[in-house]
Amino acid sequence: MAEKVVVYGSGCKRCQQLKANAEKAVAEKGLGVKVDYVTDMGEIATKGFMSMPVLEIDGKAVVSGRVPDAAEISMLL
Amino acid sequence: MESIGSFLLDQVLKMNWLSDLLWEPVVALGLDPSSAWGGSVHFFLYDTIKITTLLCVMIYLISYVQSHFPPERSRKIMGRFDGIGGNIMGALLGTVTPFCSCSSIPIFIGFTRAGLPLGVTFSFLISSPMVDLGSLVLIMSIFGPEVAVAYTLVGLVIAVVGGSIIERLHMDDQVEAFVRGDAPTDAELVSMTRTQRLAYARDETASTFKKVFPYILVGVGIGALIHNWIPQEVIEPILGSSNPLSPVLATLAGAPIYADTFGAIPIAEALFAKGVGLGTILAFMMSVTTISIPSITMLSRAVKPRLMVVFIGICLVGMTISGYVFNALQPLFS
Repeated sequence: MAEKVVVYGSGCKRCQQLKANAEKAVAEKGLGVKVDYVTDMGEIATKGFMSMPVLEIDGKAVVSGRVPDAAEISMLL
Repeated sequence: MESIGSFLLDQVLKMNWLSDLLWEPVVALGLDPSSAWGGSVHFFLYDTIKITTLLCVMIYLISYVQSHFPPERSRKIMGRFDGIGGNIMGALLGTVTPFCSCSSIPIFIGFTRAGLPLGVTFSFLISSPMVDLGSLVLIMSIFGPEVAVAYTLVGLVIAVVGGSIIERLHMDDQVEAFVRGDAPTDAELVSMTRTQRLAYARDETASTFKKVFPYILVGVGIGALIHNWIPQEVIEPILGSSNPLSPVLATLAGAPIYADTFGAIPIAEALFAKGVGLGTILAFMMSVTTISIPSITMLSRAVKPRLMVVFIGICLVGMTISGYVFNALQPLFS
């Protein structure tokens, strides 16, 4: 079960959509974890991410550069 | 072969059958096809449907191709080339790497921290918005294959030369401090399955359509206005061959505008019909797609003013020069 869910993005529409989908998936599974949202460019760069947005679960990037729906995120969790 | 080629060009890309078909609703509305109103309505319907259809088909195909070239991968490929080879690869990969303004800063930082030369990164950043498969097909559908290929080559040349100049100017101190830093931990590439790629292509098509459709409507609206209401005598002295400064004007007029090729093409098409030179039109389209107030605002978060001015200057000068060259070469294209 996922313990830490982070969305990285630059505040664009797609990034916010990914965060919303992730929150929906987390809520549906009743995980009770908060979805963090990182927009700091320095931090994103240190991680080496370039395709926004990125979804990271427990420290591992699982989605990059696209916006999967809540059902797919649910599977990843 | 030739007849198959011209069939594809005229009926599939240019959709001449659609043009013929759309005179019927114009006549049904009681409008005279030869009147300005009839012409405007026809131009509006035909261009909106044609451009929107091409947009959806092309973005779907392009997104699928692009899903194979995430920036992380392009960066690795570029890193293998030295000198001008790096600039050429940067310009070429810029055409196939998915690029939205929200990713431009992370890409800029990612490339820089990975040790790519500044010039290579700029070759990529110039070609990315200016040249892509979508604009190639769209320009082909209106101006024919020769012009489309010429536009693409010129775009790539500007990207390669522009990046090389920035490299020679040694402006590495001209990026904001946070851009530098530790090389990224080689982020594991999240690869996609075939199903995910298809879903990605579908989502990209839907979101691009939503984003671009208003621009198409505005572009086609302006195009219809130019096409049927503004007499040639008004446009000719400003943007026509009688004004030696027309490529300069077109480049400067296009710069602040934020649109992509899909919004710019109906305006270009209408101007062309009014006798504006091919080079002037290509300069306008390049300027609209490559430089805009939002993209400059975004990039200025990571780049200091001096480099910003050099970047904009190189783009403007490059586009203006290609405008003059194409105006001079225009007889070859007709």
